[in-house]
This record gives sequence, structure tokens and C-alpha cells, in this order.
Amino acid sequence: MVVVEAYDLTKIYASRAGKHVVVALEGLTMAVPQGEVYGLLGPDGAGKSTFFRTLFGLVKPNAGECYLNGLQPSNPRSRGNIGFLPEKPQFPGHLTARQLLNLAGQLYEMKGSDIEKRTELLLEQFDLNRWPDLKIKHFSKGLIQKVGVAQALITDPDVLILDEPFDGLDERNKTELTKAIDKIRSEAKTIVMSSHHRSNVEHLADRIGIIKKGKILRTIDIAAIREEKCMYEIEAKIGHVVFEIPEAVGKKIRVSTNNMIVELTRPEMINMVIDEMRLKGVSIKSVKPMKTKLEQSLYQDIEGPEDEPVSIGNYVPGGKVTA
Amino acid sequence: MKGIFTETIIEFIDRKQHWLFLLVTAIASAIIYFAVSDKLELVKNEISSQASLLQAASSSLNNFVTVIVMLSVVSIMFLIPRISRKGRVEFYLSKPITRTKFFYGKVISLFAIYCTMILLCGMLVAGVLHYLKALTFSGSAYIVVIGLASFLVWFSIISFTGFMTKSVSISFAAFGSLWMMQLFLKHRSEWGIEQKFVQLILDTFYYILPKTSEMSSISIQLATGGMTVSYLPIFTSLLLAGMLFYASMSAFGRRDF
Repeated sequence: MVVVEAYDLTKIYASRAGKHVVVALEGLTMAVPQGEVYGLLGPDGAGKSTFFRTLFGLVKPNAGECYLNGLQPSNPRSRGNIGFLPEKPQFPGHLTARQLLNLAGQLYEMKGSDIEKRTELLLEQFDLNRWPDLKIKHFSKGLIQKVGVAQALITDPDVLILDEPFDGLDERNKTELTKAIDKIRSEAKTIVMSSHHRSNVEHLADRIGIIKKGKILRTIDIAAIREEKCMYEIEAKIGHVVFEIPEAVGKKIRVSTNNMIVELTRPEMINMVIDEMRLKGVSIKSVKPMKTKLEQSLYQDIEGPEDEPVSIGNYVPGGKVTA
Repeated sequence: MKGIFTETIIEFIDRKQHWLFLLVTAIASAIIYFAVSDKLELVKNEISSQASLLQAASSSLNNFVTVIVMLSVVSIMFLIPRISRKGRVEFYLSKPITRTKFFYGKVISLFAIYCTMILLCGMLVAGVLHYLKALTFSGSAYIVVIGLASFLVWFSIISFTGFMTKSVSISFAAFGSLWMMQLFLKHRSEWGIEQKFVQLILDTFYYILPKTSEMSSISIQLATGGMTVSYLPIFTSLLLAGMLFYASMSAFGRRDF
């Protein structure tokens, strides 16, 4: 079953005089089946938030259609079993986390006892119990994002839509939020999340849709990237030392006196290669993972065609432009 | 609906506005107590008439209710743009409620909370006047109830400007200018304008715009047992309020967030 779908969705913002026109969505088409984690990846202004707002009926499209759980946004029941974290949320600042979760539960028309149970569980899960009386207006950015995800989960929804959930978070909060999303993912829920940083979505998503100028440019199966063999570039004083890499570990792609590129069967095999090189007395300067062709194309779609990378075989060293 | 109402009450208490209402009421009660006591002495000494005492008591309560209504209107002016602010409205409208339900939930909650404050404050001051035997219960009730109707009219105006423009300053300007205009238009017949066309324009504005000043006069007339010529200012003002709430809802329903 498809839970999130959009067909030729177009949204144009125009000033009243019609002098300033911004095409936020231009024929966007996509579909997310039940149980999938879908990452919407694109630069700022690509149309990610407008797309989510259209799904929730906050923005009315100029053309096209979209559905949540098979229902149009004009039907409030379409939002019945869906949790949403908006971009840069501004929750009522005068409420505490508990009061916000209670309010969210009431807006979903949950039973009082169910609201209490879920609120307790989510406050515990997101470690929000430590500030029971603190009002949201005094929350840090990290805490706001946490309470935002918590309120989206109040009904234990089957579908979770997160607009830039990692935006503005420090590394510690990012890690915590990633763990929380990973846990939700393990419950076989559908998650649609957006980001302008690929690192935020690529290790969580099953598929990534690249959005730019209001269109989905391409959809990438992350599993395919994961299945591609991992490559490393090792910078070392190799000289004329000869190495043999067992077939079960991987193979050499290119060797020079101060550089070697290896293709390994699994990422952890790099330790065996390093051990072997040390045994041979080779001084290692650096070990860098290399981007695959798929990764590079993904990167290129987001950053634009300005930086043309130079490929070495199927791979680009370190994802850096070396031309 | 219950959730929206609870959230609105929490916001009202968080902004500590109830203390401001109580402070204004306490000061007004003290001033009215001493002013009416003096008038009462004059009546006892037969220097002043009972009718002038009733007039003074009615006017005092009416002026107080007008101040409380203005205070409520200014207070709500700051709340409405916050409700429809991008980011905050998304929290509500991403839940399975309609825009109509959210809009009327908020409007009714705000109206109920501020009406309660106006009613409580009005009853406190009316209690003082009743204690002094200067004004009857029914007299006070006319003034407070018509005061609530005036509040509804101004609330509709600032709801309209607030939801349409999300600007406190525009709401304030609209409130101030309409308040002044109603005072001018009330006396338009005294200006000696003879051109029919200008008279027609002024009459049109008079009938369209709020007439809370005249509503106050009607409430004093009713409280003092005087004759009321016409209830038209009340009906037309309430009609305007209804139309503005409908227009606000329509604009809110169509807006992109």
C-alpha cells in the first residue's frame, strides 16, 4: 500500500502584483510505500517543506494531486494516523513538554487515559522528564526537536513525516535523534524525512529522492549503494614492497610507490590490509574511504554541475575534485 | 476543542494578564467608591438629586467597563498574529482538525476567557455600587452585558485585521481609527453638511462601522430607566461583527501557511 503519493504537484508563490513569482514545486511526482524509510534530499529552497506543507493541506497546490493514506489533504482524516514534525517548529512556548504532548493527543481526539500513557512513555523515551516544569520557550534547539518528534509520535502513528529533523542540532543531539529515528524504523513504520545534508538521511533511508527546483530529479535505492563494494585509498610509503590481498578480503585496484586503491568485500577488511602493510614495515600516512559512482552522482545532483569530478575507473578518490 | 481552550487559558495565565485586570479593577473600585460616596453625601444633604446619583453611578460603571473592554482588545491584538504565525499554526493544522474548527476553537476560547474577565471585573465594580445603594442589579447588568457586546464587536475587528495582516500595529491602527470615526460619525448631523452626496457617504459609513459609543449611551439610558430611542446601533454593530468573523474565517481557510 502506498501511504504518501504526489502526482504532478505544482505550487507557485506569487506576490499580489504578480511581480515576484517563485516556483516552489514543479510537477513533483513521488510515492512512498508502507514500511519504507524515504529520504527527501535537496538544497535549501528545493521545495521540500512546501511539499510537506502541501501534503498536510497547509499549502494549496496550483496543480496536481497528493494523498496521505489514500486521502486528499482537504480531508482531515488523511492526517489521522500520521505524525509530523514541521521545519523550524514554533510550539506554543507557554506550554511544558507534557502539556504539549497532552494537547497533541487531544487534537488527535485520543482518549484521556491513552494520552497519559503515551505521554509518560514519550517523555521517558526522549529524556524530557528531566525538565517537567520548563516551558518550551526556554527549551534549547535540541530539546525542541526532541519534543517535536515526541509530539509527532503521540498516537504511535504508522507514518512519520519529519521536515529537516536534524536542522540546527549539534553532533550529540544529532546522534540521539538518529538513534530515536532508528528505533522507530525498527518498528516497521513508514518514515519520510527531508534534509539538505546527505549524511543525515543516507544511513537511515531505504530510498532517497533528490529534489531540486521543485522536482524529484531521481530516486536512489540506498541498498544498491550499500551493496557496492567498498573502496579505500591508502596513502603510504609503499616503494617496491609487494602485497598480496586474499580474495576473501578484496583486491588491489591500483598501486603506486606512495598510493594504493583497494576494493574490499566488507568495510572492516581494511584492518586486515593495514595490519598486512604494517607487518611489511610500510609507514601509512592516511586511509580514506572513496565515494562510489552512485554516491558521486547523488552528490553532484545536489551540489550542481559546477564541480566536475574526475573518475578513476568506477570511483572517485575521497569524493574530492582532483582535476 | 477542549485542548485548544486549555492551551488558550494557559497562555492567558502565562502572560500574567489576569493581574493587570485585577489591578485596574482594584484601582477603579477605590476611585468609584470614594467618588460615589461623596455624591451620596450630597444626595443625603439634599444638595444633589437621586437621579444625578444614578446617572453618576451608571456612567462610572460604564466608563470602567469601556476601559476593561479596551484593555481586553489591546491584549488580544498581540495574541492573534501569534496564533497564525508560520511554524505554530503547522502544529495544529497537521493534526486531524479542520481549519474551521481550529479558527472557531481559538476565537471562542479567547472570547470566553476575556468575557469572563470583563464579567468578573464588571461585577466587582457593580458590587461596590450596589453596596453603596447607588445602582440596582438590573442597571449594572445592562451596562455589563452591552459592554460584552461592544467587546464582541471590537474583537471581530481585530480578529479580522490580525488574521488578515498578522500585524499588531495594523490592528492597533484599525482599532484606534475606527474608535475615533464612530465618535465623529455619531455627531455628523451637527456638522451642517448640506451636500446630499456627502451626507449619503457619511450615513453609509455610520451604518457600516461599529457604534460602540452609542451602545454605551444605550446601556446608561437602560440603567437609569430612561427612554431608548433605537436599538439600531446594537443590531448593526453585531451584524458587522458576524460578517467580520465570517470574512476572517474565509481568509484563514484560504491562506497558505
